[in-house]
Amino acid sequence: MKKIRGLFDNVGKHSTSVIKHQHTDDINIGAPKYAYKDEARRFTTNPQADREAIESIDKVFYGDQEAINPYELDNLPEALSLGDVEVRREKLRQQVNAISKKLSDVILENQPSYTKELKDVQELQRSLHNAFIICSNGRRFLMSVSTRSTTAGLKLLASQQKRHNLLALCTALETIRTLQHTDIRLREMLEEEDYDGAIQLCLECQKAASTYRHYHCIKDLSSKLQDTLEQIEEQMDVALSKTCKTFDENVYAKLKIAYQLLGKTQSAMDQLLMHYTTCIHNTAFHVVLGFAELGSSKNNLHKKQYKDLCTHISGEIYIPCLMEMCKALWSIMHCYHKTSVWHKNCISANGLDVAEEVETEEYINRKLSHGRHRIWADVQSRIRTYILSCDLSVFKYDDFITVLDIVKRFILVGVDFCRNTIDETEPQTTTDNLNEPLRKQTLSYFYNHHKSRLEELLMFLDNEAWQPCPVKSSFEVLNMQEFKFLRQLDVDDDNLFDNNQENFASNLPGIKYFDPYTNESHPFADLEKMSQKANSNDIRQVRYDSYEASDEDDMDDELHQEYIDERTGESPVSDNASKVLHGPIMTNTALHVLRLCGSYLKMCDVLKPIAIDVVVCMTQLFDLYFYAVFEFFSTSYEGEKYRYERLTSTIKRMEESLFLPISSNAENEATLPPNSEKIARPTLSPVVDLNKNENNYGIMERIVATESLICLSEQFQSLQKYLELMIPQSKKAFLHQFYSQTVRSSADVRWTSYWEFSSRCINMTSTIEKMFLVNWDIKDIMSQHNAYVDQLLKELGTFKSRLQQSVRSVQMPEAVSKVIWNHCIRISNQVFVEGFSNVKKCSNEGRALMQLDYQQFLMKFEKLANIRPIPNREYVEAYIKAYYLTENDLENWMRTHIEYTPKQLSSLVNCSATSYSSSTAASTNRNAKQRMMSLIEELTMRK
Amino acid sequence: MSETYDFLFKFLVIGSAGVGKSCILHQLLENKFKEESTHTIGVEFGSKIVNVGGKCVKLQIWDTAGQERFRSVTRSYYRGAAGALLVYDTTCRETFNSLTNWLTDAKTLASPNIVIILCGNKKDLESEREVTFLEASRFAQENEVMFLETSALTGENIEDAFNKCAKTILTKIEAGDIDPERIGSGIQYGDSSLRQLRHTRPRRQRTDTGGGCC
Ligand SMILES: Nc1nc2c(ncn2[C@@H]2O[C@H](COP(=O)(O)OP(=O)(O)OP(=O)(O)O)[C@@H](O)[C@H]2O)c(=O)[nH]1
Ligand SMILES: [Mg+2]
Repeated sequence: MKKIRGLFDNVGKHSTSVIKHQHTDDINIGAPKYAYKDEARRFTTNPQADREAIESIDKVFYGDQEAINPYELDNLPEALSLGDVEVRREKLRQQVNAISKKLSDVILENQPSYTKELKDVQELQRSLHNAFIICSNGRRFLMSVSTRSTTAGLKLLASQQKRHNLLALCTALETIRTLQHTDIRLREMLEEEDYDGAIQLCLECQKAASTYRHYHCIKDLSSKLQDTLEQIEEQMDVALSKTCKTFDENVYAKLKIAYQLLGKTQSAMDQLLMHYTTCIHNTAFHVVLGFAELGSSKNNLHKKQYKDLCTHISGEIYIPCLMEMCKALWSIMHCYHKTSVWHKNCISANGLDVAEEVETEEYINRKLSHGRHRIWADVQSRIRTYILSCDLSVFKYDDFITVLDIVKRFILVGVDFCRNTIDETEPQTTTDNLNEPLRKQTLSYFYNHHKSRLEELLMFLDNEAWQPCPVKSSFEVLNMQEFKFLRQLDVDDDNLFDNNQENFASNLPGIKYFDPYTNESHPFADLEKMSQKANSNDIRQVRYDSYEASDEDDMDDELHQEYIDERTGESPVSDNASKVLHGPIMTNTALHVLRLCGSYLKMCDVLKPIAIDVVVCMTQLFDLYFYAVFEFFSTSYEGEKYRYERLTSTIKRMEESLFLPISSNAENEATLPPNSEKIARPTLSPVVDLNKNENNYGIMERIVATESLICLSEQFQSLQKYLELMIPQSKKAFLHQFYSQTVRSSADVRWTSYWEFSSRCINMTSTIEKMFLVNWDIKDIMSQHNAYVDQLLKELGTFKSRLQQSVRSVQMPEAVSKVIWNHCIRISNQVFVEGFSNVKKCSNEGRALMQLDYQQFLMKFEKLANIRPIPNREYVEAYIKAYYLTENDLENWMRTHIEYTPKQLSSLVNCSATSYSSSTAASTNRNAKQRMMSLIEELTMRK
Repeated sequence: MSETYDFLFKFLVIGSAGVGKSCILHQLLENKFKEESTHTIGVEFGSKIVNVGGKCVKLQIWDTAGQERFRSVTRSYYRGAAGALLVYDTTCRETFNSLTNWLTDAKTLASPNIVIILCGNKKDLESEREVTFLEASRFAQENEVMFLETSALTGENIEDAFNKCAKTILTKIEAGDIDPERIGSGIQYGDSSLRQLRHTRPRRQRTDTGGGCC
């Protein structure tokens, strides 16, 4: 109903609302349906009435539905009547009819436009439908197009992107491949020792690797590179350690840069020092091991400690091994030296301007400079152990000297190595490590050596026939082969001095034993050559030609003559005793002593610390010779006591030092050799007979022996200045003592050793007997001497010619004949005193005769012996004159003249007493005599 | 240091100057050639203990100067030598010619019993040889001495010469031809052998009673 009402209202006004309605119902597109009631179709045909009816329609019915329904009911009158209602109903019916009519009219009126509109609507509906289809088709097409075209495009894009990525991956892989390959390259570089390049590369790779670390395949590489870097460092370390053995500037420079790259310059230095220590230890060990294996069949040697190993080095390979070790250790030191020189040059050459670098370099230099001590100490300890491990005392002298030479040279090398890098306060300690064991070994060696040399010398003495051994008249100990080194020493010292002067300006370490050497040469070359030469026989160079010329006694005419003699086939047995020797008188043994001294001096020179011991021993050689000469020829001495006493004290000292355990009297320190036994006393060769009259009681041998001793002492004197140079200042007193006492007193032996000859040749007793027969109790002054004087002089005359004859092969030294004649006068004097003391009775005139006799004797003797003034004449003269002394004076005289025997004194007293008797009372005389006799007794006792 | 040995033999090395006596001794003692040898002055000495026929023998060797002017000195060392090396130089005939004199010298001055071995030294200088092996052998035979050619330079036959000589002396002792206890025999007993040898040695009847008995 409502619709309809609406329709009514809106006819003509809202024509589009239908479309609007239909539009909402878009799917129900069909023809509109209309329902018609039968009742409504009953139309009246009264238009007036219908108008009125329509106009009478309450306004309410045009209102809302809700208002319509109750409206009729409400308007019903209270008093309801059917009429009314009928009326009402009628009215309403009319109204409805009117309306219906009206409505149908309107409808009819609008029918064609409706139809027309409907057609339009249908038309619209159709085109809408078409549009719908077109749309949905388009939509469908669009849909398919969109589906189809977007996927491809996207795929394309995606591909493009993928390509992009792949390209990136490709470069990455390329890099990775290079990275992987760098390993090989790195290895190559390491082989080429291009450490800095390798490190740089490695570091770059590491960076690259970390950029690509998202790649799985590279994850390992990174750690591998780290390993490689470590490996490089290890290799560098190895290379660094190799520089200890062979220093190559290029390699070292590379290493240095490489370490710089790593930022480990300083720690590398510590490492290097450590390498040196290891290298020293290993080298020493391997050298010794090598030699030990040579000499031993045991094969577990390498397990031994160095020290034990050293004890496996046997005597004959000891020197080569030492040499090898010194060489090896030196070359390590040499590398070290070159390293530090390199660093020093590094500062000065490159002129580093970065303060930091300068500081590092200075640090290195300081480190290296200090390191020298450590190196030297290490080296020393190796050698020291080696030296101490072997008993060198059984070595041959030359071998031992070689050992000393080598070690001494090595000490010099060490001093040179540490030069100027030490605190000046303790320069000595630098070499103590070597000097001390060397000293120990040398001492023990030396004492051993000395012992056997003494024994050898003893054998020489036992075999010595005391024949003169001809030497050039200008014989000088320093010209002997054994002393040649002394002359060399002088030269060396000069050189040394010069060098010192030179070096003062640039007193750098290593200037002497390192700088001048390349890798091939070494400062032991000369020593090595010496020791090798000594050990091999294959030197075919024969030096016979030079040999003759360099003969130390160059051939004088006399000698040349001998050679001619030999050539003409003259017998070697030919008597050549007529030849007189003009040179100094030497014996074979004395020459041997000098030869030994030469070798001892060499020892002094080679090792100064034991110089004093050597010098002490050297003096013992002299002592032994001295002692033997004295013992053999001087025992029956009865001459002047004071000489003898001086000598005997010297001899006593010798006995104590030679035949008692050897002690170095110059030192209190315990340098005593452990089991030094006494040596035997020398015995005179049985060839020599001193008791035979025919050979003049061995006067020749006496002369040769005594004069050779004197000559020896002269030679010793010429050695004094060298000895003084050898020994420390503090020990000079010993030497002084030796020279002022022992050497000097050898001249005294002249006095003692010729005594026996004189005393045995001159027959004292026959003269004394003759004197006894002379009457001395005479009253007149005599003018003629007694015959016994002539007899004595005659005897001395024979003695003289005998002496001259017996001494043929040598020229008698002036001093000797002087001594011999001295002995003669002494003996004669004794003859006189003894003869006079036998006189029982004597007058003043008799006493005068005695003086006359003696004067006569002196006069003649002077001529015979050719000595003036005649010594010791007071001995006789005083004895004669004592006769004239008064009692008291005689007493005093006797007290002061102890040189007379009690018998001689008492004889004097007796004689004098007889003369007293004339003037004094016999009783007092007797008393006086008794008093004096007891005085003599007393004096004798005192003696 | 007292060494132990059974015997001590006094040896001489004699011969003209320059034949190489000192070099021979040096080679024996040091096992090397003495490079710079000069004429010996007087007498020099060396000792060595060698093992001969199971016995330790200490050789006390005197190296004498060959130069004429030392003759009187060297002769004084001949006395009491038990053995001698008489050396000549194979490259110098004169040294060979004077051998007779040396031989008489040794026999008169040392002892007629002295055991001598003739050594022709410098064998290494073959090109300069002046004395043949044959004539030297003949000389040795005639004079009843042993003979060897040696070289102090190479060391050839050096030890042998001494050993051979020592061996002969030892044989003579054992045979009783030499009496070691005679004064001037040039032989001494070492400590170890003394008693043992007394018992084993077939002793000759001895006229002198000087030798100490137990
Ligand atoms: N080629 C060669 N030369 C030798 C040999 N022995 C010695 N000589 C040389 O001969 C020279 C003399 O050697 P010495 O041993 O001094 O001679 P010596 O016999 O001792 O001489 P004196 O001491 O004067 O008697 C030296 O120049 C030696 O080099 C040898 O066996 N062969
Ligand atoms: Mg010689």
